[in-house]
Amino acid sequence: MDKERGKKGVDPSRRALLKGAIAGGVTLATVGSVTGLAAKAVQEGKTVTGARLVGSLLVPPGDDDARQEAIMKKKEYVLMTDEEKKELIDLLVRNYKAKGSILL
Amino acid sequence: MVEEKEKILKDKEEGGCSGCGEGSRREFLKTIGAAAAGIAGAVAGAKEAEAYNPNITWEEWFQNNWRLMTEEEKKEAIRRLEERYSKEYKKKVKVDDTPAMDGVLFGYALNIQKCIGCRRCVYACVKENNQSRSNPQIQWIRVIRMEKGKFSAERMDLGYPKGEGDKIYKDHSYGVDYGIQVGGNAYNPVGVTLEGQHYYQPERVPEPEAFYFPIQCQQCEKPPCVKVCPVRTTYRDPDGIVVIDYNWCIGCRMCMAVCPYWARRFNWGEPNLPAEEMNPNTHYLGNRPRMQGVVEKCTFCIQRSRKGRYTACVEVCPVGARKFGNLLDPESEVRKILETKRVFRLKAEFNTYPKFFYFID
Repeated sequence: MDKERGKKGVDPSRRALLKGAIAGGVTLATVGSVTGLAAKAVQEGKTVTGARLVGSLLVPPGDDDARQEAIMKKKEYVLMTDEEKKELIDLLVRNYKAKGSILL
Repeated sequence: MVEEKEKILKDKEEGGCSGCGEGSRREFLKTIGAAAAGIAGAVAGAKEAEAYNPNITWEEWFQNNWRLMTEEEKKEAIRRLEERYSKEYKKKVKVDDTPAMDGVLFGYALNIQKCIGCRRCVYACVKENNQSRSNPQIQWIRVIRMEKGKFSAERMDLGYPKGEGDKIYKDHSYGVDYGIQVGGNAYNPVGVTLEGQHYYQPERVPEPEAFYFPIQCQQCEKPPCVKVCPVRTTYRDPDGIVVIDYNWCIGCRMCMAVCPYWARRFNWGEPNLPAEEMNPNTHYLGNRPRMQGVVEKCTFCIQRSRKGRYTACVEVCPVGARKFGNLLDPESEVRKILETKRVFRLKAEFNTYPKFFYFID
């Protein structure tokens, strides 16, 4: 043992200390992230009675209209605004005049 | 001896041979050999082609991409096809090649509140566009039955199709067949309730708890299918219709993979189109009979729309849910809808700029 220590020039007790510190750090990080994920899962989760997070919106329980509205905002069935419509028509006309070179 | 050797080397360098006219014999043999190989290859190719589809002519196999053809070549290709189809379907078949009209950009609007899910559009489309009737059965339009306003918290996380082996869904009272998910992000199911069924078979439509969502090619202004086609056989015409030159399709199905709307269909087998049901009014880029191994899709009934007619689905819709017209014309019905109604586009976030709009009164 002494011979080995002499060869490598490393103090086994220091190595053991470092090993322990790293292992502890990894464990803490894992526990922390798992706890965080669990908390997030609970927050976004399936509680019937509690409020529910849909995207960035907190929807109160039992309020179907609000829930629907939130989902519509979050997902793709999003109604076009008047501004978007105007922009789209303008873009389509310009693209047609430019022989499709603007959007392709 | 040395002089003779030098002479031979010099002749070789010059491409001839030493002595008396041997060069011409070699050239002759070379030409004959190349010609024989060419003929053998062509015969093998023709046999292969004939085995694949005996009705397809040699010229058809080797015709150019539609966009690269001269007017003469186009006329010849049309003539060949008309002759073949007329013989095959035992009726006078017209293959049209009307190009896009100036000042026209086709758009489509569908009133999602009015649709009753009767699928008349699906079958009118099949009939009009000469789609394979069975084995494989091909339909360009699919109508999805959607749940109406069921936003209960227990069902919030449902929305993904699950197989028989999935315990959570097996134990659930709703059964195991959840159809396909239309909305949402595949990796983020939170809150997805927009779940649909393709193969619904009710006693009568409309069902009280459902609304219907017809989906077909959205004729994107920025179509991803066109971008990925390795042989440039699918492209967007000036009037906004995305078309396919079936003769140049190599059947790689990249366009199908990239289409966010599942709007393209592939002919896995030889299309089954009974002669008596064949629509003889066809367009080269639209509803002319297809062959095995090519992709097809909705073309806004190009054979009709380019002649100023409505599409078959618009004509047949019993509730007037479907509207079609020129987006460049401020007075057109589709433009008025786009400007005045509550409109949304399917998967607009992909920036495909679909010209198919869903609207609510």
